Amino acid sequence: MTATDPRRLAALAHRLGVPPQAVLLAAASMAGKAQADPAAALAGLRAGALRSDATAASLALLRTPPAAYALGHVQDALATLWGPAAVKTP
Amino acid sequence: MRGASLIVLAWNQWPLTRRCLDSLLATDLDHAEIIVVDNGSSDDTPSGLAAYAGRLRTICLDANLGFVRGMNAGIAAARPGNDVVLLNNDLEFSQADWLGRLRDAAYAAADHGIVGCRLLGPPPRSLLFHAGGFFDAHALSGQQTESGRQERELNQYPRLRRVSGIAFAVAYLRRDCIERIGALDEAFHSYFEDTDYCLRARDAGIATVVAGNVTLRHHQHGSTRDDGGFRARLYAQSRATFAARWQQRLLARTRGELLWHGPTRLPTAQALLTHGLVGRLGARDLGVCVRAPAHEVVLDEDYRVVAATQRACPSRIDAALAVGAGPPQLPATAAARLALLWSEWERLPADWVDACHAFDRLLVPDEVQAAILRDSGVRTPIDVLDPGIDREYLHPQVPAPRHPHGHQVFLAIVEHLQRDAPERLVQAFQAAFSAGDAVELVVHIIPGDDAEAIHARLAAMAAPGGGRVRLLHGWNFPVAERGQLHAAADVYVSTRRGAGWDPFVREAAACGLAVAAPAWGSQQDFIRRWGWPLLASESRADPDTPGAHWREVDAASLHATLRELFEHREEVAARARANAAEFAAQHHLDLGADRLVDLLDRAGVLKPAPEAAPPHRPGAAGAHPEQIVVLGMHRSGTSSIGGLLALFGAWPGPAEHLLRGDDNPKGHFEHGELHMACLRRLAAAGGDWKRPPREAPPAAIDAFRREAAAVLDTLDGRRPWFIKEPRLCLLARELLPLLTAPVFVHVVREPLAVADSLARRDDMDRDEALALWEHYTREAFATSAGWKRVLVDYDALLADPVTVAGTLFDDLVEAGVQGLQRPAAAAIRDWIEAPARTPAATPGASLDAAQAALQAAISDRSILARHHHDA
Repeated sequence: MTATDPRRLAALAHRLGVPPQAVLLAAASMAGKAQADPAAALAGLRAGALRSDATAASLALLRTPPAAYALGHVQDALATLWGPAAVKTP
Repeated sequence: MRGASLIVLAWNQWPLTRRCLDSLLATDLDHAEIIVVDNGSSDDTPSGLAAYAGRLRTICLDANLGFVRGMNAGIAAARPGNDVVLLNNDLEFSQADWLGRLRDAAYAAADHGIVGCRLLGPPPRSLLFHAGGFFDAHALSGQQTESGRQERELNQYPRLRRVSGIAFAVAYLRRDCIERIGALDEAFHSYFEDTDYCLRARDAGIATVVAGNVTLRHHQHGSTRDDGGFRARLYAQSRATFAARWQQRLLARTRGELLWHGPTRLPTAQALLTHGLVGRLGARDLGVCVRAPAHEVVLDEDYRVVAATQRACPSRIDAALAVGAGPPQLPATAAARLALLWSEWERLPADWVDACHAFDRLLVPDEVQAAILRDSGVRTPIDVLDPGIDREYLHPQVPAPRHPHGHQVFLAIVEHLQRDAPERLVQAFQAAFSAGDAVELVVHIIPGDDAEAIHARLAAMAAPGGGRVRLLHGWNFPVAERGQLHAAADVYVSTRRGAGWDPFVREAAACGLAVAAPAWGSQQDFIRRWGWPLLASESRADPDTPGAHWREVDAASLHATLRELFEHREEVAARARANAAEFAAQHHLDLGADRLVDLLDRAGVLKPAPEAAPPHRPGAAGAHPEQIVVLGMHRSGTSSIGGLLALFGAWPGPAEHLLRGDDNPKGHFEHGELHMACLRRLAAAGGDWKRPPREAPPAAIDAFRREAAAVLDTLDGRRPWFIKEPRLCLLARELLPLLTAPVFVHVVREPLAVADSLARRDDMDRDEALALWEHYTREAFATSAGWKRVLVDYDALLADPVTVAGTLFDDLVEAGVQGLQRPAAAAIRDWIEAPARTPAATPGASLDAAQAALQAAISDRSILARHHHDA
């Protein structure tokens, strides 16, 4: 598992129900260990057993659904409230 | 009249060229010629161009010589004296006044030489992909926007602004720029020639700017697509040429290495705030390396922030900057250790105070925070650094969805349940309004630790019959779209308990929203000046931080303010909108970045800034100005100077066109048609000479310029000529694109004498008259800054006409004006003595400090040495 393998990264993140960044974090925390198992790293990270930089903010990533961090457009967000309103220049 | 030669370079792809020409010919092309350079096309281009005969000139090259030599062939064929506009053939022109606006930008300052514009990519996405950018010397990569991103079109970068470089898909080149640094360098075939040209211009003190009010469409790389690797080879060759010439020079400009230790890519207010600063520091010749205290979600890819995040820390760090709302953490050993922080509480917790003492300097966003730190026992030196808002993305002209039924929309952005107290706002809103009121509160919950808790709390507060509240939960927006969220609303409300610096209220103010926020902590000065203050009454313990206290917003004040903002919607909106530009001008990100660099500089850790070339001055060497523009406030003696210039042999125009009036029986030497054009121009903008309008609609400027151009065309038949009209102090800037060989004659007079004269003639209050004198005078000197100019003192002329007139004559000759005749002393005396008046004393009137400084700079003539618009 490497950080440059986006398809595997995305698939694993989806399976584990965490943001892709959390998987990257876990992999980074296992740096130096050959053939690191990101799923195991994630478990360790949740337990706070890995590197000290796995701070509260990082752990928050693990608790947050990936969708919450995915970028959406303001126009689409407001359309959920108001319908597909036309964009106007003030 | 200065013309423009538009050079379209074509190589095959006739349908693209045809679309380009058809759309181009449909725009306003006053005083412009079109030259199409056919770079050896083998398709329908030659026959297709033949059908445009009479509307454009064609230059046919035998073979494809590449972008650079093709464009240079066009530049060589341009009418002498014309400015030049380089255009790709895959452009589409949908803005009729594009050329006029580019020309305005080119002459907005004397040292401007290269002008670009905003470029949208092809539909359907129509992303903004060019707005002037920068060059990464490490990666040898040019970026076409400051963010390095292609973004949804949101009217970003709306202003006229200086940039490092532009893409030459559209490039307006002033003639004096070409004369100074030559045409494109043929060491390049295609690619990198534009960056090279902009850097050569910079070396000559010539600025590259982007006109944010011009947007064209560019169907990118239409001419070299599907070429079997041809383009890639050209790119590689030009890149190598560029690297050999510029890379080491650019890298050597680095003033120091900064380690930035803080969040930049989380969707939090704090990270968004610093995100902008990091990008701006990279643009100020600092090497920036970012290390986040925690792993971050990549929000979106600002080029400079990503590069700084990925960059390895150099072995020597000149300054380390810790950023955060928590106790600052010392990131590394560095020559200077700084922390940018603020407190949410009335006093800083003890562990924060201890942490602060590990730093050399602390930076706080305002004096309130400085006082909190000092009162908490912090002994480390403190400087104020207002980070500012990004006015390229946050301004009132951002297009946005609006409420479908026109309801007034209140917006709140929250990220911490305890600190932001969103439940108090929701409760107050539901109580202040009923479901039938045409008003709605939208609460955007920023993704983060508290998001679920906030959502759960607010969702449980549903109150049927109360004011409507909508929650935006689970949405995370690109940095570039933050302005759109604000622009969709009318009012921003904060019920923040914390005292910390809140960027969202400031962003809302910059976007033209009415803002209500508690008048305490870092919001108190802001909200009292720019918004609707809420009382912050009770002190309340922060449940998450033992011993720390913040303030609760007063419920009655919140209720009353919500109602006021609703009941006076139109007045509220007008006031907020009127504030927006002024607020943004005083609190923008570039000021913050400049301040930070200045603080680092003063800490002694940066190398000196690279020596900048003196600003370019048009016609500095060898040119012969023949168009004399007299600039002077009303009642400053401009008519007397006009008469003198006529004695020198300069032509004011046909006698039958010159004004005469009771207050100047010997004549004003004002061209009547120009005078009327000035009157109409001020009136079209809603003002007159006593009430100068601050802005003018583009149509008013264009109309003025057309009328003035007709006058100047007649004058140009008999050079040297002069024009004189006091209103030109305000309006001459708009004539600069018309003037090919100008010299400005500033006529000055003791301001109290001017005020006396205006008081007598126009019954004007003396303070008002002095304010008007100051405005006219500043505008006049700002207009002529960088151009050839001389100054003549009317009071001195009255005292010693022959000597002062002789000096004026000598100054004009030294400026290069030819064809003048030195008049006899008797003729000078005869002219000057007749209208002479003795300045009257003005009991009680005096100049304020700024006016006195202006007058001092005029008296010692130091004002003539200023290059920029700060006159």
